[in-house]
Amino acid sequence: MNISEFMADHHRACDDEYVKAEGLVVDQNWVEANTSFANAYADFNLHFKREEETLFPAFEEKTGMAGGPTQVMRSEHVRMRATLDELKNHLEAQDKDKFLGLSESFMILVQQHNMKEEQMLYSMMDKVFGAESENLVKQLP
Amino acid sequence: MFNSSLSLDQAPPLKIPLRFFITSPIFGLLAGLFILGFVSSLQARSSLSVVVFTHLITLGFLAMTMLGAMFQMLPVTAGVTLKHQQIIAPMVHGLLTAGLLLFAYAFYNYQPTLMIVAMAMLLSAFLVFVVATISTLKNAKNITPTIKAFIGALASLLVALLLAGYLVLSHVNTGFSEYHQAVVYTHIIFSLLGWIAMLIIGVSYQVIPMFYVADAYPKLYTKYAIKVIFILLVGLGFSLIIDNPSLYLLFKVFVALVLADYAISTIGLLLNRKRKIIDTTTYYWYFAMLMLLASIGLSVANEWLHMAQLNTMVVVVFIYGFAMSVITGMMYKIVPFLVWFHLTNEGYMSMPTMHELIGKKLTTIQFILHVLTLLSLAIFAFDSSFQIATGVLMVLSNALLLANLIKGSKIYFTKRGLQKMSF
Repeated sequence: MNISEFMADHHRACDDEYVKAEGLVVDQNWVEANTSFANAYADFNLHFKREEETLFPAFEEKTGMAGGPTQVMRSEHVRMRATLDELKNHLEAQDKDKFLGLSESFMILVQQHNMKEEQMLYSMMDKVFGAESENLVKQLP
Repeated sequence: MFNSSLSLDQAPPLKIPLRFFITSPIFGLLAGLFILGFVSSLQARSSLSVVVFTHLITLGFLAMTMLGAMFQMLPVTAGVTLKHQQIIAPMVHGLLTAGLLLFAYAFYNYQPTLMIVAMAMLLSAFLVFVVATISTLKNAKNITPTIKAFIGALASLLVALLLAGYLVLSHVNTGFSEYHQAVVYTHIIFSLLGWIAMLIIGVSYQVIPMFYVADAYPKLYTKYAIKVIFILLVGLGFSLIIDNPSLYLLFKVFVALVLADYAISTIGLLLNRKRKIIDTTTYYWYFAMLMLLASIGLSVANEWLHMAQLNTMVVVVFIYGFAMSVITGMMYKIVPFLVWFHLTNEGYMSMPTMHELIGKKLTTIQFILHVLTLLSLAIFAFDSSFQIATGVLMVLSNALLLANLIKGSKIYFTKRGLQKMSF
């Protein structure tokens, strides 16, 4: 599996878990929503970690582009992390309306970010790394 | 391969798309008032009052929002920002708004010189945009299907504009050639099925997965649909000019199939979407796709029924039922999202959520008014006694849309009740 395939699949996995949590909040099934949200939270953070600690530094080293697209992706991660924390607070407070209202923004933020990565960054990475791409995927946590 | 033009974060300032979005319901409202005052019937389709009414909607509402959306979407889809957008956006917006108002005045009062001035203003509005877009797209690193659809839509727009120029000139010279009717139809075909439909299809590729966490459209479709539609439209125009009805029918059936496929795929993607939350924007999307299917069905059926009023109804259902619904639904997502996005970007917290910015009740009422307006407008195509009902409903529906969009965005400018994060 190259970077595009592996990381895009992981985007879908994050979405699935998050959407499941969101659906449980709609039903006000707080116990299961908590578990599901905790899984999604961990998934998103694992995804950010894979990029920030392995893929981005490798890409920056190879291309010499430190202030380019990876930097933008990093700053979007900061924002998504902050929104995830805010969502967590609404979940703990069992505030359905606040959670779902913010969830709307979060989902667009995430999907927009994923598209930029899937349509541009990952394919650039696969081109830059060539055959190395699969090895990098294997090294990911 | 890599240079500084790859900009993944250059979302334009909120003012740039918002000025287009807020202006569109104002033209919708004007179109409603225009019906009340000046359109006694839709049956004489070539009458100047019907031409004015149609363009208040197609240019004032549809093209207005579509341009605003393109300013917003280019950075996300192509990784490029329109050069000099701070100057280009107000210029395009100003020329389109003033040009269209003048167009309405000049056509309704049949003032040939003013018609030319209006046409020149509208032409410059679009040309400025097209030139700016194309010179920017040269730098796009990855030509996605959405970008291809943008290019197809802009090419169709250019064809439609050239034909519009020809039509205006023939009004001025008071000479209609034997091709006049064929040119009118080709203008309508490229405007509706090229510029409007292609752009909406291209935007759908992007926003259906983005807003609803749905699957992507089938690759086969995203790869070929736009090219196929464009070729079919050229075929349609050609068969009109050479006056060959059977060739025309053949092309028409194929266009109908490609567009029906889009509508059915979209409904399928939405039904299978991962997020089960239903909001007004979802109603708008379903409704739009059903209306697209209805207009396709009616249009094909009319090849055998040959009813002039039914043709008018096809256009009404396509423009007001399909295009306007999709666009309104999208604005209800995009405007609150952008407001939230820009405010959090600027470090504000304790923000109202997207749902709180407008409120489901108001958008639902507006959706119902929109559906009733379409219904009344479709009946008006057959029955002139629906003039008042149609005009009143159109005014109400667009006034509420305007109020909703202002309600959803004014917090960005007032910053009322917001606290800034201190670092």
